[in-house]
Amino acid sequence: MIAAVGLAVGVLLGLLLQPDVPPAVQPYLPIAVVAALDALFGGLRAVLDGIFDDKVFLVSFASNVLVAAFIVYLGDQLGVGAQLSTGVVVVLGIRIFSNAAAIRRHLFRA
Amino acid sequence: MTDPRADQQADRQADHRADPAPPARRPDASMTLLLEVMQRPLDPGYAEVHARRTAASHGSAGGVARPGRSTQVAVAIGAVAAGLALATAVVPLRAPGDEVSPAVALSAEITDRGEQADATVARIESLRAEIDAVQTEALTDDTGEVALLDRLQVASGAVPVTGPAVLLTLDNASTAGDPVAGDARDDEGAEDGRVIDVDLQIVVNGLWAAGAEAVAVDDVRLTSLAAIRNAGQAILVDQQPLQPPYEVVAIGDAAAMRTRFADSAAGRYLAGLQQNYGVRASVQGVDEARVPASGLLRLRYAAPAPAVGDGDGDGESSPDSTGTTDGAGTDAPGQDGGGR
Repeated sequence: MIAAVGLAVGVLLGLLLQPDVPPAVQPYLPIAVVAALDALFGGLRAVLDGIFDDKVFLVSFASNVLVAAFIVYLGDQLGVGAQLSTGVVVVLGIRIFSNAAAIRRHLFRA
Repeated sequence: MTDPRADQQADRQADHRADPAPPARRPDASMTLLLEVMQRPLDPGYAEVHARRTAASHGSAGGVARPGRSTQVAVAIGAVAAGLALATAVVPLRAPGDEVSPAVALSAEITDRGEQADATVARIESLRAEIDAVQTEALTDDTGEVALLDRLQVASGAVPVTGPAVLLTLDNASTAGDPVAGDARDDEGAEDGRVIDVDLQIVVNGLWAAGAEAVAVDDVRLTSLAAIRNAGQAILVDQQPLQPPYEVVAIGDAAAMRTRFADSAAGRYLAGLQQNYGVRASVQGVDEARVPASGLLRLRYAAPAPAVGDGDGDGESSPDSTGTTDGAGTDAPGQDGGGR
């Protein structure tokens, strides 16, 4: 619960303060956000499964975002940034979809 | 009486018996990566921690193991930081980008580059003036080098010149198609009364032959490096595309040049263009006209040949030789132009 409340507080803070993002990391924001969404859906599903854990959620959130951004950065350095971005988005997208389906089954029993 | 070895053997035989038909390969075995992604989308960490905690709570009598206070604080701080990062990442993505249409961007770039080019040309002019000043200072006048330099600069197009001139205007026939609306890559159709490069070449050559000392077409100075040629429907003079009407300025004795030009083959050619194709042309003398310096006077490969020294009459290649230099220097533009 602490994690969920803290996350909400952080989002509100960010919306209020609107801090500037350095231009160097801006290309990695979309992929980082997709990774964060994946972690969020995973956390939600874990809550419904009754196995949610604050620490696991936070660690998976941070590592998801960092690893996704790093993969894209690496791809950019190697000249295959677009392809790697696509790969990351496909994998994360499938995960988000399956998690959303699991959440749906929990909520609607269907 | 259980012999371990026999036991092992029996085991192996049992294994062997079970082995011949290994579990049938799943039809989608080659897609384990996708299966892994699709069937286990939840972070296994959740299940692991849950299992560990359940085991701990079963093992110890003290109910569910609660995380320590410091862990809770760390989690709270981490969660706030994560939320902040998320919002920070999302906000700029939602901001409408200041998209500019390509056409506007291109036209802005064209203006930009044009200004840059103008500034560079201005810089060239000022640097050239500086060079001239330094040169004049460095050269002593008693050897006549300054006068020689002046003549060479006029002849080579390095400096702007003024003087009496013949002003010759050449324009497409009124029936000619619109050069802008037409397909610029289509180089057909000189017969519809459009002025083409050859017309301009002949006219300019006629003016050189009539005694012009400096010629410019639409303010582009003709030098020994400047060509007049077609590129599609546009005429390039010294690589610069020009639009009709073409205004040829030829510095020289205006009255004499007009007479000589009218008598020359070029004059007759021009008259033929006017009569047969409706090309519009006018020739007039003016008392004072200005011909600009050439924008680009740079030799990449040519270097002055060593002076021959015996005065063979070739004033251009041996400007040091005395006697013939004066006459050759003055005539140089005319000779130069004749070969164009």
